[in-house]
Amino acid sequence: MSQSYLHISNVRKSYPDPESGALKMVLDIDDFRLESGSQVAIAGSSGGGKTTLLHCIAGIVTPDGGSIDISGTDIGKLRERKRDRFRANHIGYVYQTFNLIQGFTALENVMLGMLFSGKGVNKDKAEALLVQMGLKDRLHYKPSQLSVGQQQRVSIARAVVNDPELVLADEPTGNLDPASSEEALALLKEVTKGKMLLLVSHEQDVLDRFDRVVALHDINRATMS
Amino acid sequence: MTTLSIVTKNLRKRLLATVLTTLSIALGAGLILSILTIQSETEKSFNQTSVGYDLILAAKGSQLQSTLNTLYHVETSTGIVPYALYEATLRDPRVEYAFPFYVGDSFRQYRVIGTSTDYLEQAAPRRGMAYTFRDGRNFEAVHEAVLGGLVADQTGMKVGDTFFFTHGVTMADGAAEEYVHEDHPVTIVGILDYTGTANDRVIFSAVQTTHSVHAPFQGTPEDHDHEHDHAHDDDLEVAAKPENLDAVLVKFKSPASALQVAGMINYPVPANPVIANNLRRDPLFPYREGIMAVSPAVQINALMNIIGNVDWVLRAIAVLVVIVALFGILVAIYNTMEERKRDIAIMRSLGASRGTILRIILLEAAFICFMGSFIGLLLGWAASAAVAPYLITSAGIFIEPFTFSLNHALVLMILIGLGIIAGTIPALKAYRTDVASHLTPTS
Repeated sequence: MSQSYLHISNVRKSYPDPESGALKMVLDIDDFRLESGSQVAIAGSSGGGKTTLLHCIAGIVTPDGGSIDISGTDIGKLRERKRDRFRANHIGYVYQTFNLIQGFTALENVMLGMLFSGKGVNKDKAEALLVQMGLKDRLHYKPSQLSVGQQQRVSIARAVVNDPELVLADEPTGNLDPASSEEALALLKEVTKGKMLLLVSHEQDVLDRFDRVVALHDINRATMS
Repeated sequence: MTTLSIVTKNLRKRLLATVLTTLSIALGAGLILSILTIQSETEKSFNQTSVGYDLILAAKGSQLQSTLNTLYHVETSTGIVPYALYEATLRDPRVEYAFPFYVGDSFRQYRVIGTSTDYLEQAAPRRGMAYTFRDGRNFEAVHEAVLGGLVADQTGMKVGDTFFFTHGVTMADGAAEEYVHEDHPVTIVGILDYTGTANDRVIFSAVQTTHSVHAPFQGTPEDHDHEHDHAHDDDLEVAAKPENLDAVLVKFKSPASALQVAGMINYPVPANPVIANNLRRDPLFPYREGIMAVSPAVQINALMNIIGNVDWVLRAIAVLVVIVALFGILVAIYNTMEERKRDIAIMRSLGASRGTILRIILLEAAFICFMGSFIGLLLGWAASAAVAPYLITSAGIFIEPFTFSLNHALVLMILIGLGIIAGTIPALKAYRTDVASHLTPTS
């Protein structure tokens, strides 16, 4: 099996300024690489373009230019439908606000991650992952019946259920208390072993848990100044 | 976990809106389908019953009334015609068969029709259908009667039972003269199979029977002193026959003969002496004064045109109800779009394509329409079943409520199709949902 990697090259993204209407560059990355099995944290303050970067990598937002190469696939060059399918199969995403669907149980939220992969829904696998996350007794609980720490664990299980080669985590501990934060981070690092993990955070104690930390303003020319 | 389970979960999440929208579709569908059922069954019932007769010879009056009275066993007679007219039709070489028609008595709410023995052997209640007996045999003597299938089922009477005719017939408003001919017991000798026509709700007997128990009666029941002619001999050949009938039902050997006789009876004698003399040689000419020749087919067409106009109004109302219900679907789903944008964005971020999202919303609309149509079908059947007994007693229309025709299927398919179209607007809104801006928060 070939080595997986992420290579961002000359990626730029601008948004219209809400007040002036003029285009404002939020992302301008010349070169950034992530190798197979590496777990990297990106440090950045609020409004620094962290979420935009992750959205671009996930193919949720299309960059204005440049390329985002994930193990040989330039996600920006894929047609939308293929990009959606690629995202389902190759990229996991953990959000600060968990982004669980409220009407679905924990198990259903995890299975939802499998539904769009085109590989079929494996209920046993989803259950096993939630058990691994310590949620054996909460499989059929809806998000509103779970603590925020438990919700984030469901979110982590959903992100890795399709065995993606790349997991993106956007401030995953931002809404958690210190104990839940510690627990979620440990689980995230555990279940992404051997995969690429790219986590963005502004919390120092989270960043301290990573061997490699990159400051966003060091790679993003749009915010260097 | 499938796309369909997402659809059902979404619908369950907004259960009240889903149920109300489904019910509004069901009401519209039920209305349309019941109108369709009643209209088509009524038309079928009328057409079926009218098969087999070319002309009704009856006393001058309303042609439609005469048709309703003789073929559908509702309304009153337009008057009387001489029994000799019936005998003349039997002698007429142009006539294939003819039956006397005499009505004036009833049993409970069911009319007693006095006719000839041949009627149940030769007449066809429907095209190509003969009267068949569920039990027993045809009447062969005075004071014998045959019950229509519905009469037997509704009264619980069986072969061998005896009963008494009641003077007068029950009308749609329930009014009836009340005098029971208790001195003339009539024996049930046969019960007919269902024909699906108004004939199921009548009692057949010989004209000699109806005449023997009931001569023309003037005055109150108390005055009924049985002064009329009673024939107590049970042999039909020798029993006294009535002097008058309510009508004569005639089937001619050729349609041209029917037209010729109808023209001779209904139009004035032409001034041309040659034609007039020819007409005077017609065997039925001596009876033409005071009678009319009614073509049931023409009358039924006229009636259907009247019903058709009412029917269109009802259909238009039903279509409006459906349109309102379809807008209900549109609004019900559209209003949820704002709160669902986040769910849609989450699904998109998990790899759901725009097409998948579009499909989910359209399936929701289709599901509501399908359920509404299905419930509507049940409602339509229930409404038709509720109306059926009333139609049979008041109008003599026999309808089969639980029908499912091609038209029903077509209406349901159109409804589901329109529901999907109504779902298109919210579905397109969902399709265009921006993913990034709804995966809050951003930094």
